[in-house]
Amino acid sequence: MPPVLVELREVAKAYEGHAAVRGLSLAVEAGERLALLGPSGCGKTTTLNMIAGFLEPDTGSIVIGGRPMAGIPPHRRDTAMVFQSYALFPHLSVFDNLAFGLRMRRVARAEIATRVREALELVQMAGLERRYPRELSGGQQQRVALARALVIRPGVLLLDEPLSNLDAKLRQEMRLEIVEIQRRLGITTVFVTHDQEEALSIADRIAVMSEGRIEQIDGPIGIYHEPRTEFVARFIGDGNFLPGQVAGVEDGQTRVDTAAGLPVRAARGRQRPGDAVVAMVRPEKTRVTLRPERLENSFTATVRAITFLGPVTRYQLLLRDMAFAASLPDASHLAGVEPGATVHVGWRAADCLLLDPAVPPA
Amino acid sequence: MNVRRLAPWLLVAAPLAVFVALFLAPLVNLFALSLFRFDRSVGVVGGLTVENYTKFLGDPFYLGILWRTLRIGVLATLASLLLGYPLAYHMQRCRPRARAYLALLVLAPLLVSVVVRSFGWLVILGPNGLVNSLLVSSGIVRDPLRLLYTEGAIVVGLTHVFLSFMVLSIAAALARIDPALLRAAQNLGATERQTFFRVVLPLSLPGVAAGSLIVFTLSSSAFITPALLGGPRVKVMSYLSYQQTLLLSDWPYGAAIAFVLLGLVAGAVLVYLRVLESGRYGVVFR
Amino acid sequence: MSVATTAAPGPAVGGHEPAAVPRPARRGVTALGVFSALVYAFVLAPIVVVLLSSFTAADYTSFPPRGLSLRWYLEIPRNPEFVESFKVSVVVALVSGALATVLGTLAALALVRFRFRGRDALNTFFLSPLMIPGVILGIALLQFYARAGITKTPFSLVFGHLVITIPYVVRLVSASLAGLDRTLELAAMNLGATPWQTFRRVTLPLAAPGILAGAAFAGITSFDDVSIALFLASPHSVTLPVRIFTYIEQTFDPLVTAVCSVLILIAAALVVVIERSLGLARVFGSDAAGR
Repeated sequence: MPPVLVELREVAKAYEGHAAVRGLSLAVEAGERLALLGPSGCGKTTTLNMIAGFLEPDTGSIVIGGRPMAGIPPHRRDTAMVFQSYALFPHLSVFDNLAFGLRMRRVARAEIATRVREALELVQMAGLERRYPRELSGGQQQRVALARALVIRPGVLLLDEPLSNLDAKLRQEMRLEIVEIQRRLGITTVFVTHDQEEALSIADRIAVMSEGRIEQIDGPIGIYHEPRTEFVARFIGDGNFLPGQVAGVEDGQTRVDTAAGLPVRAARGRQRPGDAVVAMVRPEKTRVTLRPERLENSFTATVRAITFLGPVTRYQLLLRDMAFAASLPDASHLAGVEPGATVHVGWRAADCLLLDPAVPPA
Repeated sequence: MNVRRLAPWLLVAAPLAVFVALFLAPLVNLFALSLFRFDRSVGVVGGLTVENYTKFLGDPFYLGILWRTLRIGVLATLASLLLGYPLAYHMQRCRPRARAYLALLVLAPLLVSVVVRSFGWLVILGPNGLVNSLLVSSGIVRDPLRLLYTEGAIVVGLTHVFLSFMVLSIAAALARIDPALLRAAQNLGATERQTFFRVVLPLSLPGVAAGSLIVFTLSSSAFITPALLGGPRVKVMSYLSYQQTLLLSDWPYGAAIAFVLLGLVAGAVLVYLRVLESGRYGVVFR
Repeated sequence: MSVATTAAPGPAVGGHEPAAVPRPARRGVTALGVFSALVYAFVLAPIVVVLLSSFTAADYTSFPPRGLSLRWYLEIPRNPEFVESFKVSVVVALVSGALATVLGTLAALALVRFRFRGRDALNTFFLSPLMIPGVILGIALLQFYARAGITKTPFSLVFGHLVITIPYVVRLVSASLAGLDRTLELAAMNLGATPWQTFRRVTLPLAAPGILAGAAFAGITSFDDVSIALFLASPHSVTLPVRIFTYIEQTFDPLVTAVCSVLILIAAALVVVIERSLGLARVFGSDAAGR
């Protein structure tokens, strides 16, 4: 297992009485790409700013490369950040922007020239040294900002919503490039995003944050397929959420009586009989058919709307007066089904996860 | 011509008429007057001549007043800059609420007439004023110093009167700096001091330039403050022009002096525009 | 039970992200703070000194004042020329302020809302009096009036002040019109409002703060002006600042400190009123910096 490079221990930070980060612990391994993912206000940017040293934690400690960071100002930390707005110095050329950090480190002139050139080549911006930030497109500015952070060869690269100012197409391209560059340099990277797709496509591990805490930390596949809490499941991807109570455990399956009165069979969970749970099934894990199928969960439902989305067709159903969504890659067997029709919807117990409810029932 | 094309001209017709009648025409008239001759017994005599200008530019006494005006303008600008920049920087670093109160403190004096504020300096610098009281009672000097009616007094008064403009101008430029830039500098290894000199200062230069232009043009053309704190003894261009026209009735010469002063102001504006377009930090201004 | 799409409803708490400007870690007294305090003292010194010395009991102005009395305030009503001048100043300020507001708003509307040949030149023209020294304007106007045979009346003063007040109105109203969301007007017209109704019900209310700020600035500029009024005032209509100016040129006895103090108190009251209604920074901050 690679050594831990950045460690946060029970870190907390409050602004004017409002807790932004509450007792957060996190270990970033050397060379990994870790995403802090969450809605706005979840404390992810505050966490990043504490790692960079722009904010001091109220309690807890941050250790980078084995060195406690308490009282160490930003300019003496081995971190480099790419800002959401890029924060390129408007009065300096591309070259001088890249050279800034090197000059602060008193790097020799000749070496500055070499390293700046190398960094620009790395982000495919060679030849634009004499341009000013305002003369660059958004994507170019993004690359320069990345090069400016990389040129000082930091121990940790911090990215604050790095792609949020780019258009959709450029964003996809930059995701790939960031991963490629990071792989080549092997640099430990922590990035903040509110975009689940971005986190899933860039990160080795994702820490999903909510209200100043980490809800779950896992690889993209684990986060998506095995969310532990309702919050994580709702934040990443779509789902059908069926709150209820564990009725019993048998044959490696859990029986749940949902609040709506459906008997649902789910995969084995940690929960015990009597526990409040939320059963969740992803829309793409469901089957919609004209006749009942032999599945652990099978119910009749009414079609409310059918939306063709290209790769999938989405069926909005009414299952005992509740909205239920199913996404089918192939809906040819349902040709002729119109809104109002009765169909059968089903899913396997193994595809039905049991989650802790986001808000405990009163 | 349709209504859409006519509309703006209908809107500006009245204000434009006022400006042509009360601004353009009087200035053109004054300029024409500066090209006339004045005879003490007859009064203004027709016939175009640049005599008034050559008289001014050829006389060391009058040129001395021009230099003094320029000097006072430059000194007041420098003083406002030295006092104003730290003030604006400090203001910008305060919390928003404190900043609002400090801004109020800088702005409030603008509501008090220049006459009253200059008068305040008469009281402070006068023979029985604050400064002399302190000096005499502490035994530093035996007799009150003559502080009034000096160039120094004028510079102090002008600095006070126009300092607010410098502070506002610099504070506005500082406020426009993206805070992320300061973080970026620190993140790249710059100390607070290095961040200031390499990022904040260069990016605030447009405010410094604009503030300097404002303070220089206002203080080199100011009338009330130099008249009260310098009086007839320490004449500046505006006072000279006032004296020639209103007190000595030599209108053509007074008019010529007014246009020399106007040339000085216009020169400052041209210098400012040059700085704006060229120079090392030209990129900041664009 | 529901279908969640993308983002879950996050906590409703916003605006608690880190403060924008990194502030000094250590609070308390710094060299910068001390220096700034001294500069603020410099800014307030003459005003405070005038106020305090007006309470002197002596026959001459001094600081610190000798004794403590209100005798020089009681002296003001015995000098009707000051009271008379105050009235003249108020009337001139109100009339020229009102006229300047109307004329300046008209010009701003044309300059912001229309694209036409000569627009940039007009814009520069309307702002140019700010770059012309007041004394020169005063001399030019006086000479022009004399040549045109216009006698000095309070109205000649009002007209003179239009030239120095309209630019401020044009500037402040332009700024407020330019910042106005144009789609609001389009929405009004789309809902059936005529251009006039749109102007009356949407544009004007939204631009009102800018117009009021322009009016306030125009009035104050007119009231405080000396350079122009000095030349245009007739013996019967001398504004208060001019009266004070000519008085101080000869002598500065405590009577004038009392008169000046009254002006300072009026200004202080104005500060409170403007700050409460429009915000002083809005009136001065936006414009004065670009003067």
